[in-house]
Amino acid sequence: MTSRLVLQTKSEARSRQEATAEPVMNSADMAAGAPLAGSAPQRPERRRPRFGWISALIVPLVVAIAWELVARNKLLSSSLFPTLSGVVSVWLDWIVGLNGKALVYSGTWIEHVGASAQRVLLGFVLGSLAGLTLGVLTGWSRFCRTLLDPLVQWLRPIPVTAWVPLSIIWFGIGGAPAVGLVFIGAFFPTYVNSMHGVMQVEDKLVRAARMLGAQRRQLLFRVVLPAALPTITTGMRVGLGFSWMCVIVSEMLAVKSGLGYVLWDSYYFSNLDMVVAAMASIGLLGFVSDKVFRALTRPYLRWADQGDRK
Amino acid sequence: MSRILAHNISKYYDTEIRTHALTNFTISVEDNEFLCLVGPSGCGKSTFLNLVAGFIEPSQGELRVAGKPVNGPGPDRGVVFQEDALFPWLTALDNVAFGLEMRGMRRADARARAHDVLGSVGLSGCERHLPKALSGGMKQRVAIARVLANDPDVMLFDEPFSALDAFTRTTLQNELLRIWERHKRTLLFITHNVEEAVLLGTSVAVMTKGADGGRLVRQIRIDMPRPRDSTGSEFNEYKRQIFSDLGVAPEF
Repeated sequence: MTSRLVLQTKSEARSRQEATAEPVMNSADMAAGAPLAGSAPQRPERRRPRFGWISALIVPLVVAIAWELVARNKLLSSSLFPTLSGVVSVWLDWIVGLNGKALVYSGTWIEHVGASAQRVLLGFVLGSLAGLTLGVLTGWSRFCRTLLDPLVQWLRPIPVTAWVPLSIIWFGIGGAPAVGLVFIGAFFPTYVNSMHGVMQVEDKLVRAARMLGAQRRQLLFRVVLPAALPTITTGMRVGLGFSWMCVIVSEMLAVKSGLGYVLWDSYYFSNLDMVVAAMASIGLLGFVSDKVFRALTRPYLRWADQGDRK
Repeated sequence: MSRILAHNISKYYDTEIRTHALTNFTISVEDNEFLCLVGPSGCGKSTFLNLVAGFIEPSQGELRVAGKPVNGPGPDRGVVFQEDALFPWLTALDNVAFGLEMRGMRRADARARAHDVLGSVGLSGCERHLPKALSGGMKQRVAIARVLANDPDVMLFDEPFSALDAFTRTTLQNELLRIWERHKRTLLFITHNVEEAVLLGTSVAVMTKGADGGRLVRQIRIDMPRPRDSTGSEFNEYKRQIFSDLGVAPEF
């Protein structure tokens, strides 16, 4: 009987814990079957990193200091390895136009960032929408899968760079080939993940919906799509990362504006500080766009959060 | 009138060799009967439930529900699954309202009714919880509520309480009996727990696993007043009979 009572206490603890989504007791307490009733209300014990966001800066700072020391002391030739301070001052001038160190690009950062970001946004929205639609279609219908998937899988391994000549021939020099390449970069990951997300929806959910009266159309929009959403958004995140790669490649080769163009142009003029500043800008934008994407999708994915993973 | 009528149905799967799940199975379930199917794993009891639900089709034989041949799943036959099959992105309330919305009820009306049904299974106050915030017992209550909301003629239970602890199971068994007595309908309840079958059913169908698939051994009426005393001699006599039908009777 004692063991049964412990069982009850455990299940109570579990249901309470799950209902509040906060650990009420630690596992040692639960194993000992410590009674909940009568004990003082326990503070939720949530393990946070000891220094919060400050700890996220430790490694970047160490790398920055090491970089500056190596470059200053000429451990590597300055024509091969720019100093951090040099990069920062060129970058600042590029952004706000302080001292003209960025030469023709002084004060033009926002302009180029805007040009690249616009291409990424347009290409990504169109490409991921197309990937989503076709991926869901092929995942949902065996007929569409036999029809479309072989072609898509044939085109998919072609690297984006291999598309550059065709896209220049088709769209000329300018923003259009860049958007086209971003479209390709965003399409494939979204397509693959959408198809697999839809195909992997658990059978028990489909059965549950059908016995509750869902028709085929309702099944797709009310069960299969929501269930596949975490997989689909994972594909879109990968696609967003690819989009930045694509826009930079196309700007280096076929466009006269944007971060990729600045990077390549600075390389021609051996402005190494500027090359590194452009690289850092690209990384920053990719990082920020990923954060924004996750923030936008998070409200729809909260149900799939594991929540208490440390 | 028999609500569910199975005549000589068989279900087999042709892979490399033919695997029999159910062989020449004949059973009739009356209106408002609470039939428990009991048997070991692999005796075909879940196969029969899936056939009645319309998730799979019989290889041979005839299966009718309310006089009509079964043709796919439908809201007239609600299923409570063994494992948690709630929609994890919907709140408890929206899980219960789901079936009503699928059948064309306006969202506000569906939610109002779902609210009442959730209350009737003792889950008032949990409307806005996602399934992941509910305990195993609470999830099964929601699963029962979402089927009840559709008001089906037949309710099918596939070992719904087998993953719950003993206390939660007892509470839910009593709750289910209360619901069935208040809103009479035909219940088919799969279990491998003999005690549970005798406690709940108006009759118990005993199944065993043979060399060529599961078959029905016997259907026993349980003539005991409710609430049933699961420690009394009458109860134990039924258990003894069933264990002996199953071929696992202890030697005295």
